[in-house]
Amino acid sequence: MTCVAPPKIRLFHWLLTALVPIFLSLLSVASAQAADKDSADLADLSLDELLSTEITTLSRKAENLGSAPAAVHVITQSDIRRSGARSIPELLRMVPGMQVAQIDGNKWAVTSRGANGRFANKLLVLMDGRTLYNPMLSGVHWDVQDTDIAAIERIEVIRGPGATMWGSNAVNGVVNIITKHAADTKGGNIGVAGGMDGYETTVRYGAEARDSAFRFFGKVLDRDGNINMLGADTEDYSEMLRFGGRYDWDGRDDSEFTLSFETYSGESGEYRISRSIVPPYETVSDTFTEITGSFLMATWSRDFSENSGLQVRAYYDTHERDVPTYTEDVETFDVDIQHSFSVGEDHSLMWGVSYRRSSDETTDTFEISIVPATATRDRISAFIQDEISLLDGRARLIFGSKFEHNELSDDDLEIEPSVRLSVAVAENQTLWASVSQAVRMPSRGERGGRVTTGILPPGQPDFPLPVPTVLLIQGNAGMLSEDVISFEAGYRIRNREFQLDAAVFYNEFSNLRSLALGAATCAPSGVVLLLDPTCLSTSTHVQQPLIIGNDDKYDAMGAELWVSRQMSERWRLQGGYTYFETSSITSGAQLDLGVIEDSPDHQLSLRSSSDINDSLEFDVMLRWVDALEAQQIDAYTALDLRLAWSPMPSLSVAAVAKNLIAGDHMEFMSELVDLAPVQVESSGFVELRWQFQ
Amino acid sequence: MTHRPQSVSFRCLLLAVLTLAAGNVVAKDSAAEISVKAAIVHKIAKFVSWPDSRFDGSQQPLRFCVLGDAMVLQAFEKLSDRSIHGRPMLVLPAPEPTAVPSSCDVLYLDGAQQESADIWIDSVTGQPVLTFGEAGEPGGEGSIVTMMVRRNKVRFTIDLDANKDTGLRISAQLLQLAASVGGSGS
Repeated sequence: MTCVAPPKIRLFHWLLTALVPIFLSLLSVASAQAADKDSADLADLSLDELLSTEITTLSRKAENLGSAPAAVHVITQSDIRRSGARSIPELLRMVPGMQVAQIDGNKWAVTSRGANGRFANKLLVLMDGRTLYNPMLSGVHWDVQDTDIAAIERIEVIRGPGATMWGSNAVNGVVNIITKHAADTKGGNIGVAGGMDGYETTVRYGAEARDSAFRFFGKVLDRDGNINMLGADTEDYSEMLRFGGRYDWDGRDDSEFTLSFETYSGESGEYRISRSIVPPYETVSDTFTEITGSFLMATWSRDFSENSGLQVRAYYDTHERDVPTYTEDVETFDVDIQHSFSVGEDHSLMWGVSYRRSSDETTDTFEISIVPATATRDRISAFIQDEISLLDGRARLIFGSKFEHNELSDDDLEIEPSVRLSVAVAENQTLWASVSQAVRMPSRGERGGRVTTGILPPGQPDFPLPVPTVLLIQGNAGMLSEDVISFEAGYRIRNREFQLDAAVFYNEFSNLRSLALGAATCAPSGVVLLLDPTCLSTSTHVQQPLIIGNDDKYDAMGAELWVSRQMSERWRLQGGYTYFETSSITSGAQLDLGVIEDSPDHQLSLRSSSDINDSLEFDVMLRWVDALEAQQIDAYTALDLRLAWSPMPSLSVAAVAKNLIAGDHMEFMSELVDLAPVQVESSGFVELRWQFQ
Repeated sequence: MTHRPQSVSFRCLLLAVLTLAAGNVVAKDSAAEISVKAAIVHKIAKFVSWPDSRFDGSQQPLRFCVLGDAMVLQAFEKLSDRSIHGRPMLVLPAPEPTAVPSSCDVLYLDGAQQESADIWIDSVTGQPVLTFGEAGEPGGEGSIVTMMVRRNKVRFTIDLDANKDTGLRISAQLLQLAASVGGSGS
């Protein structure tokens, strides 16, 4: 299939190149304030933002996100509390440009800017700098990524190839979940939520001494499953027990030390399609995965002077998943160093080095196996970045690159450069643009996995074989990294009552994962069917592999808009719109999957937050998500409501309803075709939160 | 923080000039901190309600009394064109402690004060005056809101005991954003 770039995409390219001269001409006209922000400028920020504003000692401003040359969105503590969200993916729904779809009661497909899937591999997710990205099937296991949600300080989301610091696999974005400093969670805090679909309880206690503070928390969660396409209950439940803590020490010499850990154990139910070579070949049944894991992380940082600092971090992370068809046990050890310093008044440099070792053990079955079953991989990466202040602080130019060497990259050095520029074109208005290159490393599964993805019973009308045919996705030991070159631009307004964030992007993907029909073989003999059809008489089944390669290419483009308006002192409205489109795929492989239909063309959201009086809060979130036609999933509209009452300072009671209007609806199907479709149900619950001491 | 020297000798003056010239960075860094604090004080006041009896009419200004040097006063004055609960904002240097309850609705005690801030805190006990102090400084003990800089960011805590019987109602949303809330209040 040849690819002729549709006229729309050429126009887009032109628009972006036209923006550069427009930019440059604006620079001479701009009469923006000098970068020193005084209290009047800061008064436009919300209290959440003021509390996050860094007091820098560089001659410039108390920095805020207004001038960031990237599509950044911050989910604040107030956003988190007012959303009534009980999981991290639910929180990410509030960010424009994020595609969040619930697969079942514990699994999610989360990404930004396309290529969504149960194992969406183009979004890097971090918690306090620790990667949550799983190297086995590349992606995030959302059923185990959880924490004490009320102890999250904020979530920073950058859409587009992450700043050079975060590096590979941050192809479409980076999510960094930042938890609160222990001194910010003093006293006891108990949160209990219960409702139609289960209950959860989190108990936390923290205290502060002279220079240090600590907290511990325990969380227990039991949530029911949903229903299948016929309305019958499915056992995609979630049961989890989690315990964790954090210790922070602030030295007088501007050094800080943090130690944090968590350990969890639980079960994720699933409504699974199992396959076998004896009738009935495919059965759907309720099974579950046992999940356990823990991590320990230490971070030390020191500010040497006003303009330079050093940070060292090390962590150890382990997790185990036990499914009837597969077991994996992964251990990761990572240590990284980051140093920042300034040269002259205008250059702010940062560089870092990191070393990571991942080792895993898997056990395999007929349905899923990985070769070799056990592996250990080392990865070394480094980055360097220079941020230059231009035009008296009105413009920021950031350029840098990340370098990575990984055993999966076949001794090649992956280089990921990026250039970003932002200019304050008027008071409170910023224009920014960037060009970057990023890579996505192949996963263990893509290099050596075999996953059964379908089975054709014998005696098919156009394929009459005496034995069943097993379709399996087969890994390729020579699979390389996927690449993207991303062009982005955006415009931001931050005023007292009105904020706007607009971003457009154009991504050129190459070396994307593709599937090619391999030679069908008889099993167990391994004889190629076409060469010797008589092998059928002695075989139990035929294997039809779909071999992974790097032969796909496509371009993706889109736009994201977010608007926030303070309608009155006690009422705020926010709206978001996301547009996404891909060109058709050019494939060097034989199996053309057609246009990727895993992200909706349009998404719209509207959020209203109002303080009815000093003790009553009311939040409404309405979202509309367009259809995913290739998956036969309809468009849906969902409504979430939260009403919270604080009868006294230490107590709050909230009633929350989720997924109203849409009723029971399907949002996404796992791309491995390992799970049978599940419809997400509406739910309601009550949450009590008590803070004492 | 700058201090006003009581007596000025030529050497002190020279030193001050040299410091200002070479140590530009230091002066500006203080400005950034006080700007952020003033903006936060202004925002916090929006989450607090004063008793109706405090004001005659809806146009009477909300009075911010500031105990601090010129730079601190200026940081607040830059905000004075903004309103709070529909009332205009009036920024004044703090009067004598005995005059505070009748002349001020908000009292900001800057950390650099040499005088003991106890006198000011005592003068407003049980009065509808929202007090702000700085952690670890005179004035930090006993204020309703205590501010501190931690890891280069401003944080605040609320002491509900200090708010006992003042008649000020603090909104639940503000309590959620405080780093910690002490006391039980009324």
